[in-house]
Amino acid sequence: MKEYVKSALFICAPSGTELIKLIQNNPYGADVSSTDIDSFAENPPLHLADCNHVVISGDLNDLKYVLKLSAELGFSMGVIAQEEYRELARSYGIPDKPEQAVELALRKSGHELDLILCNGEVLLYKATMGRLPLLDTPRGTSRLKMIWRGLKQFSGLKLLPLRFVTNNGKEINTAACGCMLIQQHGSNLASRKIAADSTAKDEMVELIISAPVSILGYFKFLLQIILPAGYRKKLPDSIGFVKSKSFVIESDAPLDVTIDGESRTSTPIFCETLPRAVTLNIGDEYSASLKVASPGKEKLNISNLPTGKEEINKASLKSIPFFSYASEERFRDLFQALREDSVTNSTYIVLMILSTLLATIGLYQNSTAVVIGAMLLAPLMAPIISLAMGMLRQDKKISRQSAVKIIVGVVIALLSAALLTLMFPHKPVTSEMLARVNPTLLDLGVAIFAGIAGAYTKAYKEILQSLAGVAIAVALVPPLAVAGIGIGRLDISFFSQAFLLFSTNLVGILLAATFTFRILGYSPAVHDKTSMRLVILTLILIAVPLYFSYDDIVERLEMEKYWQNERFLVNGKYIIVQQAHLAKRQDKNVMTMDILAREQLNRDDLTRLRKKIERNISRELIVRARILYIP
Amino acid sequence: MVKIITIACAVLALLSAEGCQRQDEIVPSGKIIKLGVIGPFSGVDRAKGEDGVEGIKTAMKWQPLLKNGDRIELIIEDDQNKPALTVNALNRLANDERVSAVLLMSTSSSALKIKPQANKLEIPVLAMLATHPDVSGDNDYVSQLCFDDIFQGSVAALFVMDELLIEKVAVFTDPDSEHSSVLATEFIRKFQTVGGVVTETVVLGSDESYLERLQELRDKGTELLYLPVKPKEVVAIKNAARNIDWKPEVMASDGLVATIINDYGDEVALLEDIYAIDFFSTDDKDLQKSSYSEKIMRLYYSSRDADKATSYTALGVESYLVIKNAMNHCDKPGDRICLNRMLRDTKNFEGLVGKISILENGKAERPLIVNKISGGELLFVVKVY
Repeated sequence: MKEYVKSALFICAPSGTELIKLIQNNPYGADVSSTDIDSFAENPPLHLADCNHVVISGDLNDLKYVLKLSAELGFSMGVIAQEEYRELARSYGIPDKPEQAVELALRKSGHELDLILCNGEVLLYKATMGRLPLLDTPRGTSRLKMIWRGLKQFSGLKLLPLRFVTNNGKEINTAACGCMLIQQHGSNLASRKIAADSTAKDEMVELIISAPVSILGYFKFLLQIILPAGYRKKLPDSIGFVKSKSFVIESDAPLDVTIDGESRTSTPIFCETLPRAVTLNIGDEYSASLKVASPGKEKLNISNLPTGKEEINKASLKSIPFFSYASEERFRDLFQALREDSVTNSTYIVLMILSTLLATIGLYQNSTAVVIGAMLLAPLMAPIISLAMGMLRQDKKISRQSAVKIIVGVVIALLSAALLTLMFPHKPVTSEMLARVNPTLLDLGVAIFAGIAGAYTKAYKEILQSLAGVAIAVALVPPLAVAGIGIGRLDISFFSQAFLLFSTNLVGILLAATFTFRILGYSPAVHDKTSMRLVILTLILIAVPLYFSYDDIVERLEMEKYWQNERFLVNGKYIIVQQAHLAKRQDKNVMTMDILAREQLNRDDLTRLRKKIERNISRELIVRARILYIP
Repeated sequence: MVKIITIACAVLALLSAEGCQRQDEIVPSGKIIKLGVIGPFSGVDRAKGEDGVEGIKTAMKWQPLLKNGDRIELIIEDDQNKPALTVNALNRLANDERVSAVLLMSTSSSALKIKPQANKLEIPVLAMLATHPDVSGDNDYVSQLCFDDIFQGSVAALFVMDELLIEKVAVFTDPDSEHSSVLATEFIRKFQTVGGVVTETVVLGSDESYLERLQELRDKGTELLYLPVKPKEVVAIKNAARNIDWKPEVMASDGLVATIINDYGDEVALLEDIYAIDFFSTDDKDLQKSSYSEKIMRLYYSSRDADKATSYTALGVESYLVIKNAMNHCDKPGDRICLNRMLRDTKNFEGLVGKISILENGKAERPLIVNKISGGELLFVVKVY
């Protein structure tokens, strides 16, 4: 059974004479007197002497004025929305039809709602400061329009140092391009996607802080916003969300504050929630949604915001960079792990010796399995990744320690393999060794992708187990072992080719890991580019011999392919080339062929065969033939 | 950073660029060196001559001058591939036109016939198509550009035995053709030497009924037909085999596709899957070709409304380049004695699909290509040196 107020004051705009008649002739037994806002403002207590319920039908500022007064004087309120404030009415569940609105406005059972005041100004929906690309997009905007808006808004985006203090005294120092305080949800993208559970009865005000620290980060945020709900994270990257009873917001320079669409004040700003400060007749549906809200607890989700002093200072320097950056504090665990990886210790030395010896024996044994075992055992990847991070962040200590660790490892590996080779009475050259003395641009490609994977696995602990695969892919120790074998054999060509492969892997991983860390947002706030230039220059220098050996390998493969269709008629004997393999040994081209013949081949036949081959091949060749006889 | 990368890229580009091949500009001397060409430009074999001359002209367009600036001029004589006419043509070119050398596009019968005359006139002749083993060897002035029939016959036999793994074959031979007889004889000899069985040697007669013969061969378990016979006979035999629903493997000799395309265009489909020995292949994918091959073929196609060249065309290109190479090695390019000597001293000359050497006795060493015919194309199978 609905109850209605006995008397009420109707504050109406001059154009609302129709409404005055309607409300005064209400069928609910309420005695309604009317006035206009100006008269009311002259002496509110006088107008309220005979009643404690006010029905208002005015503009937004009238409503805010009366609401504030309601909080002070304690009268209850009803609202009849004018045509142009339908949206406002809907947000409180107030019907559009005047008759229904009058019925709701005159009810006795009002709801106690919070009132937000920002520097004394009533906040009904939202207050914004700075730029909030996309977040302020009105409800109902299509995805395509949203993308277009997002792209338009990102130009010249800049982060500003901002300071927020919550009701509990929690201080947030960050850099952001803007922030938004929200009371009523639903009117814009941010309030719907991020602060969807906020209500006007939870004694809280929500704060959304937008801080895209890089262009990449901004596009990621854009993607997260436009993705269908199923794929979207609750809190997109670049966004911080805080819920508190009050906020103090400060900026270095005064920042214009727009409250409910009107520029009303500037920073510093103090926003407070006056809990249950007004009693307002609201629609039944809206009222039901308020019941589920749980009042009370302060909420902070600021892990996406730049917080370190270094980052905040960097942020205020210029427009947001392409790649994001990170402060030491933000990735403390990772940096600590990398720092530990850069220290040379006995475990590293022992593992390095063991893996090299294993690789060397595997190479002599021509056993792929043993060589792979050595790859897995090898501890070289960790200091290389540390060096990459050290270089990116200009951390001289990490860089120096990692470089020393790598050099120590390399020297140990070369010596171990060389000594083992010297101890072997017989020093065969196996195909496992030969596979590591012809580095090409393709090896550089492998190293680059392994470097990316290495940095990625290091950055995300949950995929750390993939590092074994990376180690196999890039295989750092076997080429070093082959280079050591080259030293042991006193074969400079063998050593230099294998060492070139190792250097290729080293530089490739280093560069790729550095770039990967940068893309993942681990670069420091301020950095110089000297070390990166050095790595790129080394990479280019290393790419020159690799380019030529790649060219060589393509030519070799083509030649091998063609030779599978070559036949010889020597002294009337038909010789089928089944397979041909061209390799370089001591700067000489050695062609090893598997040949099929029906008749016995004598020395003269083989000499003629060699001559025919030499005559028809443009390059100098040493021919080795394995003969299989057709019975 | 950008500067460093740009400079480094420029260095890389410079390092990787192939050295600019600076070709010295040849200044025309105004002198003409006459080169005779004898071939069938009328009669049934005219395609051989016409295609061959197109090849020569294409090569001339590419390299018109000798290194001393002399220009080569072609004097063409038609012999209809008739030996008697070939001798007359040679006399005319040597005595009246005073050509320095002759390129002969006629077949072995003509080449054999002019041997004494070439010796007498002391004029170098490069036989472009003649594959009979006796064309060169016992004379001083006729040299061959092709491999000979002994080589071809041996390779055919051994390819069938060792690569197709076929042990029972029937051999067809044309008694009127020296070329056919030599190939058949050598094939049979070699095939039997390595343990193969020749189920029958079929000598072509004028009233040959292929249907009955083929049925007999099939009954004897014949797996392959070796057909070193005229292309029209190959077509007829294939047709007969199709009529009795028999699909044996077939191997034919050089020039088959070129002749069929020119003279029996409609019958190309019948040649599907035949193994054919040739000097070249139309396969661009698997066969390694010379550095200039593509360039010269493009030149050929651009000057003709054709999308494929025949073996005769390719031999025409090679014959011109080989003789020009010999001329370039003589102080006086028109000197027949020097030219003949240099021709027979051709070593590892880069032909279209392999190196060509002409030995002192005038025989050529060059790779032979075994192709498989598919859609009128010669698809490369193996190259035999």
